[in-house]
Amino acid sequence: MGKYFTDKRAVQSSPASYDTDAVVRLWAESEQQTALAQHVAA
Amino acid sequence: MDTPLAGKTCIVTGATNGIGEVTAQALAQMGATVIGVGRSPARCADSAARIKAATGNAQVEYVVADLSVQGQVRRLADEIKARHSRIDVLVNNAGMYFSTRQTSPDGIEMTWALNLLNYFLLTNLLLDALKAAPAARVVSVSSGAHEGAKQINFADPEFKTGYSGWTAYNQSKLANVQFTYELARRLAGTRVTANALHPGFVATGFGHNNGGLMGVGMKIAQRVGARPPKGRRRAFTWPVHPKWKA
Ligand SMILES: NC(=O)c1ccc[n+]([C@@H]2O[C@H](COP(=O)([O-])OP(=O)(O)OC[C@H]3O[C@@H](n4cnc5c(N)ncnc54)[C@H](OP(=O)(O)O)[C@@H]3O)[C@@H](O)[C@H]2O)c1
Repeated sequence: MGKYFTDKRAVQSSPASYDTDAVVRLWAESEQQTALAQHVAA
Repeated sequence: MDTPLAGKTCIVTGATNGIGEVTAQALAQMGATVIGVGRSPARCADSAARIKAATGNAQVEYVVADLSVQGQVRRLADEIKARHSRIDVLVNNAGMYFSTRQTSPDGIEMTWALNLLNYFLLTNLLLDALKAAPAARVVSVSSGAHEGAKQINFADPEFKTGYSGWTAYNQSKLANVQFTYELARRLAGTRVTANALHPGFVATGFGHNNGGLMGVGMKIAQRVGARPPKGRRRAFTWPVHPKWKA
C-alpha cells in the first residue's frame, strides 16, 4: 500500500484521500487528459 | 564517503530550486547517478555545476523540459529511456502555486497540468524502466495543504468557474496523494513502491512567481522559516534511503 510520509514517518493523510471511488475516478480522468493509452499504443 | 546509492539512477523533477535541488544534491551525496529536470537551461546548468562541486559526484546530468507541456514530458521520458534502461528512483516534485488562473500551452489550467498531470504522465511513461530495477521507488511530493481540499472537483477540476489559487493548489496536492495510492495498488506484486511525501514548510522559491502580496508574504514567511535544517533535508530523501523499508 502507498503511504504518506512526513518527517521520516508514515502518517495518515486526509480522510478524503482514502476515498477509493475518487481515487479510481481520478486515475481514469488523468489517463484521459494525458491521452496515455493512445500514446503507449503508438 | 558513504555511497549507499552507488549504481542507482535517480530522477528528480523541479531540481533547479528548493526541495528538488536539495533532494538531487542529497541523492548525489549518497553516490547516485542523478538526472535533474528543470524548465530553464541556465538554471539547469547552474544546479548541475553546484551539485557536482558540492558532492564531488560527476554523475549528475540535467535535462530541460517544461513539465506543464505534455509533449515535453513525453520527449523527456524518451530521452531518459534512450540513455537509461533502468530507473531506481523517481521523485516527482515540480509543482507550483498560481494565484491567478493560467492555462498551459495545451490549454489546461496550470495547477492541474503541472502539479498533477505531469506526475501522472511522467511516472506512467517511465514505468517499464522502473520495473526493470531491482527495487524501484516513486516518491511524489504532496503537501499538508492537501487536507484543505475536501474532494476533487470532478465536475470542474480546472476551475473554469470560481478559481482560487489555494483551492486549486490544495486540490492538486490531494490529487498527488490519491494518485500515489492508486499507483501503489496497481504496482502491487511488482518491485516498484509508490509513496507520497509532505516536506514540511520550508523556505524555497515557492510562491515567488506570483508577485504582489503572495510573493511578499511568502518571502517574509520563508525568511522566518530559513533554509531547511539538516534533519529536514534528510526527511525529504527518507523514502528513497536504503535504510527505509516500504
Ligand atoms: N516549500 C514548501 O514549504 C512546501 C510545502 C509543501 C509542499 N511543497 C511542494 O514541494 C514541491 C517543490 O516546491 P518548492 O517549495 O521546492 O518550490 P520551488 O523552490 O519554487 O521549486 C520548484 C521547482 O520546480 C520547477 N518548475 C516549476 N515549474 C516547472 C515547469 N513548468 N517545468 C519544469 N520544472 C518546473 C522550478 O523551476 P525554476 O527553478 O525554473 O523555478 C523549481 O526547480 C512542490 O510540489 C510543492 O507543492 C512545498
